Amino acid sequence: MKHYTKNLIMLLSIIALTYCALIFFVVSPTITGIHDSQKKLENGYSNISQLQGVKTELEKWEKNKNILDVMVANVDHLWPAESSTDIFSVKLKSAAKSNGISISSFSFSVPTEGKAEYSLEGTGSYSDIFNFVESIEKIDRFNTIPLLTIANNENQKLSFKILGEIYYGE
Amino acid sequence: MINLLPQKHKEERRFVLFVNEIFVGVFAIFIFIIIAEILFYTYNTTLTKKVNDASNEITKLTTEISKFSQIQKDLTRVQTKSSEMVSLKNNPAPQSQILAVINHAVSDSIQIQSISSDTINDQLTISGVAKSTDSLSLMQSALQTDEMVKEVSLKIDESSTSERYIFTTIVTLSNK
Repeated sequence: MKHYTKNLIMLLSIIALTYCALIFFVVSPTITGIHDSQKKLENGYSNISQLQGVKTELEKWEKNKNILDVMVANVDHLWPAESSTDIFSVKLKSAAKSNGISISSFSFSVPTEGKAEYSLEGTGSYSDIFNFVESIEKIDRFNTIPLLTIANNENQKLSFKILGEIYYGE
Repeated sequence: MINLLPQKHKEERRFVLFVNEIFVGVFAIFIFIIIAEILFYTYNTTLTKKVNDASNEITKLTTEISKFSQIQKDLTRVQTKSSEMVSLKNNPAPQSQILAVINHAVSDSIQIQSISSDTINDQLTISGVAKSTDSLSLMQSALQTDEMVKEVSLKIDESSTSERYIFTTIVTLSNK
């Protein structure tokens, strides 16, 4: 009897070990595979939803391509690819003339890093300077005026200096 | 019925029955493991197929989207430049708006000597001469109420007299 019991325990131990090996080498990788597949599927569905959104949006824009073309043309006009300053200079001088501003000096620096800086000095009344600055800001070439100084010279006209910037590039 | 088998034989028989029960249990566990593995494997195969389908769908969508590359490029340019323009124009504010704020805040009893508006450093400096401290206080409070103004500091020069207050106001503009 004792002999049989000993053999039985040994046999059961071998079976238990075989089961453990079966679970470790066969069942466990399958479960890990399920877990990985679920994660991949989740990411995949998320990407599909995102891409479908992008596609729908682009299809809408293709249908309204004429509107997009106008928007691109406006941007190209406000912020051209080339650094040309000629048209802006003409419009600036025209704005000065129509607002009663007398320009004493005006120059552009060499355009670098997507912007061209200009310096303008002149004289005018406060309201003339205000209207002139407003006109510059409304010019259809995007520009900013980072520095504006106005000084009272004890005569009727105020002198002012503008350091402005226009932008270009893709 | 009386069991006439010797005691040893009885025990052996019970032991055989016990072993049989154990092996039935062991076999049941084996079947259970096999069935579980078959189910897991089938489910994993289905998932893998779904993952492949999703991957194919992504490839298909990417190819379709690549046909709109020019529209995408145009849209990116419009969006980028528009946001850059808004940011440059409104940080802190266009100069015409700053001049309008000064015009609103300064009364006739104040004579402005100079204005310096620096939007890079968000600083506006106004210097001049006022007839009274009241007019300076009014100017200061008018400036402070404007939403583009963050802080106002007023300095009155020591050389001022009771009828002529020489001042410098430094206004810090708020950067949105």
